[in-house]
Amino acid sequence: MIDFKNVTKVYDPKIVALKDVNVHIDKGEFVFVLGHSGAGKSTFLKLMLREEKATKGEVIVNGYNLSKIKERDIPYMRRTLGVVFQDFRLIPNLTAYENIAFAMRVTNIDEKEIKRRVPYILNLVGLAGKRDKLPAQLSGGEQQRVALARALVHNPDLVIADEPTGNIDPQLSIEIMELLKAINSTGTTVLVVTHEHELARRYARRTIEMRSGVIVSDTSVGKVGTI
Amino acid sequence: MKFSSFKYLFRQGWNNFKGNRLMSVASVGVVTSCLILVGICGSLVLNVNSFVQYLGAQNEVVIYMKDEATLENINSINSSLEKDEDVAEFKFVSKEEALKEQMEYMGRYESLLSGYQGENNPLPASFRVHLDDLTRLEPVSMEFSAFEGVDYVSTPTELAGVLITLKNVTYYAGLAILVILVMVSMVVISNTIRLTVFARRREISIMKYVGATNGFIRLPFIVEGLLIGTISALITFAVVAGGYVYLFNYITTQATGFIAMLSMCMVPFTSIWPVMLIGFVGFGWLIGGMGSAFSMRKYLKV
Repeated sequence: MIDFKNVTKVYDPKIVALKDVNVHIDKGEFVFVLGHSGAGKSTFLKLMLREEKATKGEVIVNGYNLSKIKERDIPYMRRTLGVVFQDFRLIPNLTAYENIAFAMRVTNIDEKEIKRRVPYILNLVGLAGKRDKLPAQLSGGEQQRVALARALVHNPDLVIADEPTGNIDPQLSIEIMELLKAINSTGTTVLVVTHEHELARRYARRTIEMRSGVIVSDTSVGKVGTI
Repeated sequence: MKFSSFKYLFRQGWNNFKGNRLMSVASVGVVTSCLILVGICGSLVLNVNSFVQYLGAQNEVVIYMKDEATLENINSINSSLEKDEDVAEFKFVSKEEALKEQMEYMGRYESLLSGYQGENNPLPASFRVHLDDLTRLEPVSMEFSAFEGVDYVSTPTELAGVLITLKNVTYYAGLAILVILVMVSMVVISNTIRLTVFARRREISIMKYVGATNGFIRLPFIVEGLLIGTISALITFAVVAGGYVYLFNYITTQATGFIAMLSMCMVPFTSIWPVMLIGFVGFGWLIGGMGSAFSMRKYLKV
């Protein structure tokens, strides 16, 4: 599913973001990637999305070797994963419905399929009544759920949530985490990138902790390393 | 790509064009101006070529034979002319025919030449040769000067030189202007599109994250560029066609003197409009398509 083999990432000039990282995440797992800012989380994420290329080592995501992938295959690799960004990245002049439909349109899906699938997904994230609202007319939590719906619309094998609790209040973070748990229970791999120890502790799932570009601990159940 | 996607992308392109109305109109204006200049250049080059060709056809190379040339010499030149690819047509004029021609030319004074019949005929036999390509005048005349039995070859090289220069100057000047104008147009279109792209860079990066291919992202912008190109081409065609027909009519019916002579070799509109239309639309598309493709490159790198 996700395989980092001896991955090192160096940005110009000589900023080492990741140092010899080895991670293996299986299908169906629920994993926290934990670390303060500057720990290498963002780079970890960028490498998985093939926004950046590893300087050394191999990154394999959903069967695609991202060190060797051809430029033209990147879009197809990205369709196998859904990402919920910290800032949601919704298009401001499109309604909730259109934002989700947009993600399907850009991947050449039939209009008929879009009309069938989008309302279903909106319903799944509890936004059936808000389909025609613009992002500005939605609360932070609702915007995040639109972003989640957009991530789920392709039925991805892997859902990545970047700081899902960062921009919303605590009550709403619980809701979004519950949604992610529900998605995970259907067999989808879920990866939550966060800086909040508390979140990882509360949900007691496998936690990979990073510090200064190195993995300092990787627990299969709940115990966060304290180095 | 599915038809519904195509429809969607074309609508997106059209929306860009409309949403960016002021810039779109400005681009159409600039590209149209450039294309009109291209059209004027093209028409000029075309007509100068036709003029040069017409004058060229009036020119003949004359190969004068010595009186002592044998039938064999004449036959060998004849067969060489037949084989020569530069030669459009040629005619052999015997001594007798030359004299007869001369006498006809003299009209009622032909009796003056009556003493030059037969043995006394001073006029040489000759080949009158027309060439397709004026630039070949010299080499051809050199070639035939060397044949046995040839006295000398007369060539209107001076006039030919002027015509060739005229043709070359219009051709290269036209080409240079064309290249400059096409580049200017491309820069203008690519700037317009860059504005749209910039306004939508967020959307583009989102598209990339949800797995849109570069082709898919690019298409609406290419459509926008092609739209600008097409509209400009059609306006240009109307303007240049109108101007051309007006000038053509003026020259063929009203003009006098040298200009009237031009009318004989002016290319009629009916025989060039398809080329013109295809040319303008082709140029418009090239400029629009390339212009937008260039402006996109930077934003596709996510």
